[in-house]
Amino acid sequence: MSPLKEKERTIRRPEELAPGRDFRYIGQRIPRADGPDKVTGRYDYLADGRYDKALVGVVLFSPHAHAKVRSIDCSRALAMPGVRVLTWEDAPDVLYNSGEWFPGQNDHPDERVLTGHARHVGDRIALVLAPDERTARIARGRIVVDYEVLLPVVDPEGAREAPEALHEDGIREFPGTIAFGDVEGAFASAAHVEEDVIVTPRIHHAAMEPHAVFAAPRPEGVLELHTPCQILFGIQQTVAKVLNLPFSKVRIIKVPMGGSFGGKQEAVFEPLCAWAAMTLHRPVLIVTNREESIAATRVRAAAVGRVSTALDADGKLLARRFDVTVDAGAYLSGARKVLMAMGKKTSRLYRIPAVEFAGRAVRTSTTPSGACRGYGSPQIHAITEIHTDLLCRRLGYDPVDFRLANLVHPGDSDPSGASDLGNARIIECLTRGAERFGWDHRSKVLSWGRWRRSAGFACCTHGNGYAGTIYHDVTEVSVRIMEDGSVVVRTSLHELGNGTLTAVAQIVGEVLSVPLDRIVVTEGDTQFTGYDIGCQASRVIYVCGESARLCAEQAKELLRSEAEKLWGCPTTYENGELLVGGRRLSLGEAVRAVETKGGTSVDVHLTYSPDRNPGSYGVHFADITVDTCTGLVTVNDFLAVHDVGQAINRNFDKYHMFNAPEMPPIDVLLIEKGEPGGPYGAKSIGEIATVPTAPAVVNAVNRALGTEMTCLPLTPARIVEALAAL
Amino acid sequence: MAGLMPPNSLDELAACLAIGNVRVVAGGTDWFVRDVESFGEEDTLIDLSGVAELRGVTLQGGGLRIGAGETMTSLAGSPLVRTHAACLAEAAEHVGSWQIRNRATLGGNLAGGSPAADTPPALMALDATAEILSLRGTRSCSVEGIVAQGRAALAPDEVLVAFTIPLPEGRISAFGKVGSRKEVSIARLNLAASLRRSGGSLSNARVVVGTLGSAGRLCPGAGEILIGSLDLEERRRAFCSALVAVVEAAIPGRSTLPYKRSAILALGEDVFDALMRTSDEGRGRS
Repeated sequence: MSPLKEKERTIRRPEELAPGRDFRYIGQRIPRADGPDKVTGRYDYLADGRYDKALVGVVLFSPHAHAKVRSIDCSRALAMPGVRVLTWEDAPDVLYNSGEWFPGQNDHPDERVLTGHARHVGDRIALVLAPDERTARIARGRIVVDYEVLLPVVDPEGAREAPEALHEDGIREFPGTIAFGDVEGAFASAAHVEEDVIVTPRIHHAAMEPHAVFAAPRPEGVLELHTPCQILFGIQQTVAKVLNLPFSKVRIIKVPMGGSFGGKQEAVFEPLCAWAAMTLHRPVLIVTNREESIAATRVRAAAVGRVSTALDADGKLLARRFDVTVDAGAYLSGARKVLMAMGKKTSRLYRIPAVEFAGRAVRTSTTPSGACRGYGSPQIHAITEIHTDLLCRRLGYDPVDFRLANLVHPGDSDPSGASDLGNARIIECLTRGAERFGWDHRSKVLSWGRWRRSAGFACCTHGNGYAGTIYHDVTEVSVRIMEDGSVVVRTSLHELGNGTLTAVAQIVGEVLSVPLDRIVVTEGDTQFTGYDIGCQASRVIYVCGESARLCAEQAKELLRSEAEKLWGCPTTYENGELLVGGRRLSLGEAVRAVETKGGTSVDVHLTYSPDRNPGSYGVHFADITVDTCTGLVTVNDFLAVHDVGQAINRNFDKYHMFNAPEMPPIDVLLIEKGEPGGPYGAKSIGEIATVPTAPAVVNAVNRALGTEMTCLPLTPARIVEALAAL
Repeated sequence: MAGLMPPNSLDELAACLAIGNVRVVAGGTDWFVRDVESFGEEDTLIDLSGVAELRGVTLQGGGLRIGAGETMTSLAGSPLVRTHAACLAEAAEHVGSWQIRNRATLGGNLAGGSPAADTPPALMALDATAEILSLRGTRSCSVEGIVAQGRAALAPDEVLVAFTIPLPEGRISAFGKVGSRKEVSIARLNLAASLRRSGGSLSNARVVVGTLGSAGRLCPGAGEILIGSLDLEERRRAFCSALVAVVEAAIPGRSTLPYKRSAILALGEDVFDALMRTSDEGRGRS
């Protein structure tokens, strides 16, 4: 390992990064490194592997939304050869919170690996293990459970008033507030006050790969866990807590993932699998099918949001007040974090002098919620953007002009005290998007027969990591230039299927001028790769990508300076070669010389923590047709405009957010004006790409029909109902 | 005896049926999702997909005979079906996904007993008769009769062999469906209709609404209006109103009633327009 352990931050800070620079790899259309294997079926997912001597576990799930187990009879299952059953009676009493990813975050713990008190359909009662999945499933079918069925609470509003709290801790709600400015005064002096209540539904992620996890006891008391997850070290601390093991004895390995979208972000089956493996001293593979993955993992948290807006006589925003209830589902999980993430967005899209955001996460007898692409952003932007369109209609404002007058500008600060907004280009997104989409003519309402056609749009913002929040943001990366000039980038990244590893290879390749097929970027393994807080919060490009860039720069400089020392003449690094005096040396030759004669490997390890967290911005436009009899909506055309700072992989402009026979043509417009602090001026696009989509379509439907629908999803039945009520 | 029996002919099938405790599966697209876990150790699964006599679309004695093992894909692409039983081709074309349509069979779609099945209303509108085989011999029954009896219509050891659709001169038909999306969608409501045109006159209308608690409900009133003497616009409106009345009578008090009452208007318009368009084209040609 190199003597260079970088702790100091040395970030190049160009005030304005010039876009359209002559890059070798950045901003090009680069095929993904994992593409060929995936499309030819050679990319093995966890459940495709062979696990000798492993037991395959299927979970016995509660069929009741709320029930206590009176008794369980496993005798017929245990009579089958090789079958083992672990029930809640065998399980440790340790309570944990699946959304806690760092020790001491103090997310309220209320979940166990198995429970005799089922709190949702799909709660985990027992784990049935057998040498193969089919036997395990048959054995599970032979277990008889006697339940005392209890009254469930399915409505988040009702959860606050239910006669008895659903959990023994007696807590009814987990509140959170964010406030700044003189909200009272603003509302008192406002020329207009508008209010709406918007309801957003729970959503399942529907990743192609259902949840699966493998755990094996290894020598010296080490538990090894293979999981397609998003936060290795978060899983590690939860498993360590449940098993009462030192972190060092819990090895988590990120394995190929068939989609997550947040669904595999929290610790769902990992603690159970790890505990079963340690208890039985056997490797254990837990697999789920589609039905189980839907019923028993995580969903996007449903939200009910009341928003009031105070405006002056000119249509300038004076203040906003929010009252938001988030449905955590059966366990608190990450729901309070989602609530606060919603609140954090309210001061970063429009210039609002005063905001009061008050909310609460409540537990119900439904599927637990958690992360889901956007982490609160889709919910809060559905609330504010549908409301903004409706208030414009009621007050006679043009929805484009109204927003242009109130949207944030580049360099604005966040009045809530969070990180500055950075090079926030939302105004450009809206003006250029409206022009490209043809908003002026598409927004007119056409009517023929039973059809109505019009258009809508919605704006949004999302973050770039955790700088300026209550959470820390730290990543480690190593770049080693090898003896043949190829490069290994050791990271604790998680490829979630979105091309992360290829993007990081592009960044490193750009710095070192090394062809991308000679660069390997690793995923995480808690025993061999450095610390990282996980692939969450849209931080990977802005934070991890920048750390990779800095690390590669240092590796380049290390090689150059060592070569200069070795040969004693001025040395420069040019186009993937070293120019030593008048001599050209290939990277491989230089590295071999530095190692053999200089006694140094070219291996740089960097710890990086950003001090900026700018906003990414986007506007989506939808052109839609509604069949007023069937309530079916056809999206005819779609434009996604995104302020990404700098595109890393140009394939992103084919970033498809729909995939069904009704997918409309999607046009993408990238605004690339550079973002200081990001690699080559890039910032996040991963989550925000999905954020304004639903409100854009809702706004289009409301415009086409003259309705004020605020309860999502806009099912055909709701559309027909709203039309009937006009 | 538990296991899988893959007969290749009707004779072999008969031998398999004699085993007892049999479950019969054709495409298996519903069975493997819904019933596979309840398959007991003593049960025998008979796979019909290899039985040659269950395939084939032929014109026979003034009717169209369609093997019960024909898949949705083959029906949708069959020139004979498209010509003589357009509503059946259209229904088959919109069942599930490509993968489902490649496996799912016409017989299975009826035998499965789903009230949301797409091809039974089309078969009913075409006045189809089913040929049913068991160890007790062969019997025939109208599809209308099978649908009326629901899942009890067929005994566990009975197998649908073929359907026969009478082909009166000048018959045209059309099908429509409303799901939650355009493709890969289970019907919330479907509608099949057929009628005869000869010269300038229309007759023999059969209008069937599906997914109203049963896979098919014959609507004689709507049929009468379809071939009645009102002018085109009036007839279209009256036809849709009659269908709304059918929906209201079929599912009073159901939470889905307000939606289906509205959605049937769209189906009524589309099926009416398709029939009249075909009718005009026919007139133009003759």
